[in-house]
Amino acid sequence: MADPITVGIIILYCIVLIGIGGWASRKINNTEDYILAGRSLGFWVFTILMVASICSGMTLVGVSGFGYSSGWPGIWEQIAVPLAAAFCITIFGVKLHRVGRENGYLTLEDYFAHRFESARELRGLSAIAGITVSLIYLVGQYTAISIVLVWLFGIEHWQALIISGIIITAYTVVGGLYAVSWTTLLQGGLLIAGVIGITPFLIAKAGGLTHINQVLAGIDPNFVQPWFPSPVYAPYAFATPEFLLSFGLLLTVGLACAPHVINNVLAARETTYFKWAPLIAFLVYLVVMFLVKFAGFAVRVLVEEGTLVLPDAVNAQDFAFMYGVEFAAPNVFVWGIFAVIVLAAVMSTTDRLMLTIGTMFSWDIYKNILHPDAPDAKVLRISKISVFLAAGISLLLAINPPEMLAWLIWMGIGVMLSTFAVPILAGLYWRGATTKGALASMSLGLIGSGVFGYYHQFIDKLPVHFSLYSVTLALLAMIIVSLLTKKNKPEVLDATMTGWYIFKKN
Amino acid sequence: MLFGLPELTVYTVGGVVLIIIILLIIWGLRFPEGD
Repeated sequence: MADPITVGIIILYCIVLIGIGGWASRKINNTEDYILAGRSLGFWVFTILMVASICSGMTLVGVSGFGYSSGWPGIWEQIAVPLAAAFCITIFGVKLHRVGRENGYLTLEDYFAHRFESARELRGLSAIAGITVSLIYLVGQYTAISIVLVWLFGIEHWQALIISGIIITAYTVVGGLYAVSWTTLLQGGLLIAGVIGITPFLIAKAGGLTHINQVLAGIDPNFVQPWFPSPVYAPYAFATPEFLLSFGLLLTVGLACAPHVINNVLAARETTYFKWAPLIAFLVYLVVMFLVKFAGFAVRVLVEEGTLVLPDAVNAQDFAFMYGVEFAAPNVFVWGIFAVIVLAAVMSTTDRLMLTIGTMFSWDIYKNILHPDAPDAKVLRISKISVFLAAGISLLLAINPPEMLAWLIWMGIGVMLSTFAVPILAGLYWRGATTKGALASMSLGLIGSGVFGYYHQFIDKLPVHFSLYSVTLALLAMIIVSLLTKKNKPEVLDATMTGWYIFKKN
Repeated sequence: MLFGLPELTVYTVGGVVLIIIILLIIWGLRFPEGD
């Protein structure tokens, strides 16, 4: 597939990314600079970082694939995911940003340790859960990058992993969040402009939206309905109303409390950014997601009409967007730009995940639990080594299972929802939430998601997403244990702005 | 029918998107100045 122009554009793009990493490295003087970019992110860098941290390899590969295989009933995913960015900024972000600035938090675990007066247990449990789930998610991202590179260059899976690993690790290790956020601004901008610029050509090539919908309705009349009827009558028709409810909760809240997403709110420069960032993040992301979804519909129509042929693979739908744009791209230069856009989508989540894993280990486990006396320079060094190791471990894990990409990512989001949603929400809004309640909730959510996720995948299908069961367990644990155990100190609750409000009462 | 879609799809999908946008606009308008 790769021609000299495409290869040239991709190499140029990678050089720019590494250049940004080098520039960013000069701005880093301490751990706060490395982890939070010195709390200096401006409005657009912050807003695009929120979108691009969520907008992963699944956005281009998975969303169009889901559109290809299931039609309109899956459209709720394209509403729930952009809503996650808005939910994170409004429900979590305003308070966490203000409390974080006043108390000097570098990570979400700093908040947990303070709010629940648990400097070691809850911080440690949260960091270990966060590292585990981020690693799972990261393996999925590397696998997505590999799918793209293998197809672009015709190279081996392991070669694609090593190439992408080296590039992303290089700028993330040296530049921390400065590099991640500024490369993300570039990557996010390319992604948004590229999707808006290219997908209308594809939709037009397939005969326009009305024709596309008419052909979809001819394949299965439910393809143009807002949901599939219950019970499920085909493997692709799983988006029933009850499933969509649990799926919507999973995506909106689960992604909003994902460690690589929620930690971004601590790095914004001003609280006033939280005024319009939710609307802008939602709208920008919604347009991108809808267009990618429509691209999946368009490719389905092209395939049904015999104009386009997808590869003969189990995950053929994962190639829908790439084959569709290749078909519709007017010239090779556009195709080269598109290749960069696909890489941008997968790389912008991957680098944020690596940084998150590295900082949870260096700051929460090494500095705050194992070596409280460690000097800042040493913590900074450990951070960089941790990011490097996170990349190495996830690359090793990613060598094995490309066919498990979707499962890994859904599993990861389900674990995030079950583990973090209840402790964060209860911590921010319920003064009755206690230390032991948070510990019980987080532990049961983590274990429960593993058990129900395994059951759903390997034993018997559940009617709703497995995470709904485990997050319910986590909620019950939080309420029951908190009611039975000692409350946290009122002065701590005041200092962490705990209560049934979003804006601080003056 | 709009773009070949049944009315149920147009109204539910469009309605939910519209409600979210309105809520986020209200959020922005009510966000305290100087907070």
